[in-house]
Amino acid sequence: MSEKLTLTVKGLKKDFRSGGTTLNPKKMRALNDVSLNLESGKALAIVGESGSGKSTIAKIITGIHDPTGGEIELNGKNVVKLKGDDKRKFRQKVQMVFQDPFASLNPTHTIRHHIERPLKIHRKLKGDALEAEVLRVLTEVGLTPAKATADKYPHELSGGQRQRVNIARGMAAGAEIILADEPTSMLDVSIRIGVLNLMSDMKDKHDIGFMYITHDIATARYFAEQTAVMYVGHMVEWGDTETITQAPKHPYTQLLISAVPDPSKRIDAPLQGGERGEIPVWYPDSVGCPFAERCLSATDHCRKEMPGVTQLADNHFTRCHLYS
Amino acid sequence: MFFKLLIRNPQAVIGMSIMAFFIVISLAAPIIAPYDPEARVGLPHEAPSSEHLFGTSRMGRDVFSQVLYAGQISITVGITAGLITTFIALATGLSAGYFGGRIDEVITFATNVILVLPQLPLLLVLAAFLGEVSPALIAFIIGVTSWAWGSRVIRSQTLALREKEFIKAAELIGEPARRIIFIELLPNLISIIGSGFIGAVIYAVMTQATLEFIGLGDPTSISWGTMLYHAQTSSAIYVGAWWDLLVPCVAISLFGASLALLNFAVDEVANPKLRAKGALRRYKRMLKRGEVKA
Repeated sequence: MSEKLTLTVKGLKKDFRSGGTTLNPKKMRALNDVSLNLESGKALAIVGESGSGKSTIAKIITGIHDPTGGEIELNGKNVVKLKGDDKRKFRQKVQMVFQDPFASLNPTHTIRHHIERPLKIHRKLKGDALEAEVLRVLTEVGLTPAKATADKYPHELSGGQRQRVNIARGMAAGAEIILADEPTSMLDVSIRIGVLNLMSDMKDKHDIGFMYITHDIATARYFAEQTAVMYVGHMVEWGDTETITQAPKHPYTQLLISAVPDPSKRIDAPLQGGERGEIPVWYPDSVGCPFAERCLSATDHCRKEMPGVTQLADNHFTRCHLYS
Repeated sequence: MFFKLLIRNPQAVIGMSIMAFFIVISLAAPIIAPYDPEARVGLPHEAPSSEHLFGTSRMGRDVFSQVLYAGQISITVGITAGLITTFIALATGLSAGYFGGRIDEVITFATNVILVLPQLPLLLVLAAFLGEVSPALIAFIIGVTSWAWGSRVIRSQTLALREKEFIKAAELIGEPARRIIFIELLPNLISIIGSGFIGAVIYAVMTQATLEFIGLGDPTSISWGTMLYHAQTSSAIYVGAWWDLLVPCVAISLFGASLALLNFAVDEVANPKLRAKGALRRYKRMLKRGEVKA
């Protein structure tokens, strides 16, 4: 692959309607001021609980949802309202792998169909070249024997194999950035590592950039160089994965890390940084730090004013009053 | 795979056999029928005998020959009307469900209008207005007035499917709308379309018989409905000529029942939750043989 691709997201905002009337809709804010960078050959993990807006980022980038505010740029070119051929080119470069491997393949078509279509649409392959490429891609993602797999229907494959087909589909299109929306969360624990290793391979061998959305901070450390921790639509801490997992600064990150099961810890060891509690719903007019309600170090200041971005190290940022 | 499951389903096998039987004997009517269905070949209202298997009508026509030929028209009308119904339901339901927005609003409005109009009275008015309507026209009228239910079912199914991730994935791959509808969506709707079609055929056969029975059809055409009409107007029941009425009645009921059986079977095959019945039967058999313990 020739030039490096960089996908930049700047100040992304997304409001969803949650009740109210047509004239006076009530809105909740799913994403607030999210900025991040994705590069080919690198992986960025987005970590957060359910409802933190992780998947919404991927859905906005791929155009399933429209952003309420903010910009998305691919190598400096805005991609929010692309049409026609430009849109096709963007889609070729940025593909998505969905969370549910049982819903993301069409049950009425063979695996061959799923791999052939992107090859036909984006690379205009035909006949023998097409068949050879289908088999090559399937072999590449570890679905061997490729010929037998190609003739199978999705229900004949296991969850892990289906997720491999999904990754193969992105590869077949010629994607340089893949947005993987919790690709392992619905898989058996024993096969998660296989899918992670496959993505790791693709990253190193084919220079594909990954956005790895997960709620499992342990796998993020295994796979991604960069990590961003999300809470209620806000990025609370981001930067180098090693730093974030080994020396977390934001109380929410500390809470997440202390919730990772550790055999050497007592089962009733206290959680650090925060306590169990309801995740709040964020509205466009909400004030303060979204984590204040659960934070152990929260002050009155935290409940009144949203903390700004603080740079802690070269590649380590947080949004917390403790450090500003 | 679908076909294999259908073959293993007893309801489907019985339904298909009866239906195939009717289609074959109607098609082979010119060979099987002993008499010309329109010729006077015996005395009026002769009881069934070896000469006239199902007796004769008031006009002295052979009822057996008539019921065979009548099958041709009744089944053709049923299938034609079923095809028209299914086609309109599919076109409207798919477009409303997939495109949504303004297109959905317009189509849903039209569907609701058709739905609130009571169907049989509408048919009666249309048929009466058009005079003695030919079987082809009956098929057409039934077809264009009975697509609304199918359309709603297909629309809601399409709405559910288009939110599925495999449709989203196809969109992200860059598939054009035409291919998403026909290649990705449509095959997932086959069972619904199939059962909708069968239901429409049953309805059409029944409705045609109804219209002709009350005398709105073309009395010179020979169908199961006009046979009933002639039997009724010649007071077959009062004079004790039960065969004149019973034969077309049984033909209609059996043909309808065969389609209904097939419909249940399609439902069962398409919906894995209903398929458990077979497993239960297998379990009971194993229980009887002592292979498992309760």
